[in-house]
This record gives sequence, C-alpha cells and structure tokens, in this order.
Amino acid sequence: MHTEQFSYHRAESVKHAVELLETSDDARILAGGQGLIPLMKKRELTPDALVDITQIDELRGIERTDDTIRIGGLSTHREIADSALLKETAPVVPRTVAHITGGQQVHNVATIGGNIARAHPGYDYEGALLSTGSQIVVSGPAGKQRVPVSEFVRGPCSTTLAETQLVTSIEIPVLSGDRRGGYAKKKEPASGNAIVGVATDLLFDDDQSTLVKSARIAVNGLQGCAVRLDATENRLEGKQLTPDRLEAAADDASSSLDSSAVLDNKKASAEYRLCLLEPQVQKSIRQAVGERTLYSQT
Amino acid sequence: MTVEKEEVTVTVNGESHVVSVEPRELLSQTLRERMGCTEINIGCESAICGACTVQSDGKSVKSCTRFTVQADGADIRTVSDLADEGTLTDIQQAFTDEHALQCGYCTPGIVMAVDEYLDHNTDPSREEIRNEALQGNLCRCTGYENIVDAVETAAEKLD
Repeated sequence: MHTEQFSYHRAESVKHAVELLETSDDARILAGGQGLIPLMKKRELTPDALVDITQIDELRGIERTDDTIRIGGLSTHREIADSALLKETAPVVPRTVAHITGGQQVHNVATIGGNIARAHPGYDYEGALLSTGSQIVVSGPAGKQRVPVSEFVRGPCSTTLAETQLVTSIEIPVLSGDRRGGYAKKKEPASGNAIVGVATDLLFDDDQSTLVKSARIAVNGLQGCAVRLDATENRLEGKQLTPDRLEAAADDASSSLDSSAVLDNKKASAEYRLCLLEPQVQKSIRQAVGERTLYSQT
Repeated sequence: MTVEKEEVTVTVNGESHVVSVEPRELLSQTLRERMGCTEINIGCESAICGACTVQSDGKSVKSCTRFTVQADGADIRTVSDLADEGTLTDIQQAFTDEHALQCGYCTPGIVMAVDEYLDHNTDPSREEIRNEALQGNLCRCTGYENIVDAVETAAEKLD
C-alpha cells in the first residue's frame, strides 16, 4: 500500500523548515510519521511535498527553565514517558503517554508535536496538556507564537496552525508543591484510541497532605476538543480529599458539560461515552492521589 | 507527478547498501524487495499489527510506516540477524520451547520488539509483558498465553 508521489525535503533548521513550507503549495511536516503515513497511504492526505524536520536539533530535549518545562516538539512518546523531570514536575503527562496506542515501536518515533498538531480527539495528549495549562509554541513566517492548548485545538483534527507553521515546543508551567497526575482511559478496541480519556493534575503541599490546593481535570475523546470538568474541579479544590468527596466529584463530572456536544459516532454513542465518564474520572483521580491515606469526614 | 529519487545509505544486518528510491518507498518494501529480507511480514500496513517490526539503531520500529528516506544512515536489524550461525537466541529458543506461535506470521516482529523490550525491563510481570512488551504486536492465532509464557521464560534466562 503506497502513498501518492511527493517530493522530499530535509530541513536543517526551523527557519529552513518554514522556508520550505512557504515555497510549496501543499507541503506537510514529517516528524515521526506515525499518524501521517497511514493517512497518506489511505490517500486521505496527498501532499505534494514533505518537509522532514527530524534532523533539527533545536526541536529536541526536555528541560526546565525557571517556571516552565519546555518539551521540544520532536520529543518522542518514549522520551516523555521515561523523563524523570516530567515525572516529578508534571506527572500527568508521562502517565498519559503510556496509554497512547501502538506499542513501543510507535512510542520510539512518534512525537508530541505531531500528536498535538493532528488534534485527534482520541489521541490522548490534549487532555493532559489542557489540565496542565500548557502552551503550544509554533513558528512560522511571522516568527514565534505561544498559543494555549485550549485555543490551539479548534475541533476534531483541526487546529489554528497555518500551512506555513510548525509546532516547535510545548511549555508546561511549573507549580510549587507536590504535583500528582493520573490518566484513565476507555479505549476503542480496534484503534486503541480514547473513547473517553481523563487527565488529572492535582497539587498538594506535600506527599502526606490531603488538602487539594488545585485540581485540574480534563477529558479528551468525549467532545471534539478536550474540555475541563469544572464541576468536578470545584468539588475538590481547596478541600480535604475524602473518599466521599472523591466519589461525589466524579459523580458530578458531566454536570458542567454541554451534553449536546458529546461525540456520537460509529466508534461510540454519546450515551455510552457519558456512561464511561464517571468511572474513568474516579479512576484517574485515584491514580493521581496514589498511596496517600484518605480519611472519611467526621 | 515525477519526483527526484533520493539516495539512501542504510546498513542492514551488518551490510551497507546504497539505494536510489522514490521518497514514497517504504522501508518494509526496500528490505523485502531490494534486499531479500522476506522475514519482514506485511500485515495491516497501518502501524497497528507490528508484523513488519525491525530495529533501527537498536529501537524497534514498524517498517511499513517508515519511508526509506527516513532510514538514511540507520543501522537496521531484522530477525535473521539474531541467531548466531544457527544457534538461536534465548528469546527465539523460548518461543520454540513454549510453542509461542501457530502460523508464525507475527513472530519475527514480536521477537524483534521483545528483544528491545527486555533490554530495558529485565524482569517484567505478566501484565507488563501484555501491556508493554506486546502492545505493538497482534497475533491472530494464539490468544497470547504461550507468547507471554515465552517472554517470561526468555526474561528468566537472560537474567
């Protein structure tokens, strides 16, 4: 099974990649290719040119600046899942990556930049990046821009990325305290993509505390874009976490959602997706809470 | 549309090759059709089944979802390179001993994925074997039980 013909260009820098994108009518970025190549084989995409960015060193690396973790757009799922820095500072992100479908063969080459630029509702990353308040850094002819993930993704497989722009990095704000993450997912059996995936980013003072300083919980796969679960967050934030409160927060998950926007297609009906929400929210929060002991309210 | 061919240098099982390919030529195709590596099996052709798995610079990849141009300068290893003059590796021997295959179509890909996985996790649980080591491969005959046994046996031998 082959793709249509295309011309191949290897970019040496971000600037060079942008120039190559500008000089072609219909060019696409080639990074890991794990989303792109299957789509090209099915002729759902037939670009005239591919711009291979995998030789650009400035797109690699995961590092901390004062208040931000910068993940280079070419960071592979494997590098992110294994990153000690991310496990400590934004654990929901590596937790989520472990659930991405395709196995180690895909995780070895697929990139975070490619995943988020595809913006597929079932692709897992979006919820984690939304819960952590991440920004997508893009470069194009007008230079560098930071776009919050909530604005970057416009709908299923649709982003604000222009044809002459590429994702260069992801920036995650650092929070001080004991930050914990969880990701729970019901996968669609054939593709392994998320029917519902719930990302939880909780902040405590330390590893014993049960007082939730901040709670940010986002679901992907449920609607066209990932969405924060405001009602669940409100039930947890600033409160002592108890088993009852955790269950009540999960029970409330759908109350702040626009149920008419829930995806309803051959992969899963809207009704089924909504039924999956509460247990997945509960599982995700429990994973984030981890081993700490929760006492019932007296 | 006529496109310029690209010259690609690639090492396959220790032997260096220079090939001139259309950019759309897939690594699986180059290996099978130009280099005679018919141990690479083509299954789903969409990055799901893993039958075409090879190692590229030590990392397992699905060769049906790589363009050959992406492998320029890479060191590719297929399952044929594992055994040493007919002596099977521990993983291959474990697959034989545990009867971890029926039709065998998926086996070369699974062995290459497991070969990389056991480098990183030398003592995996059965759950990890299913959810991590074998996550990128499909077997439509066995129901996986014997494959999990084989990976467990191989991990014990490698310790």
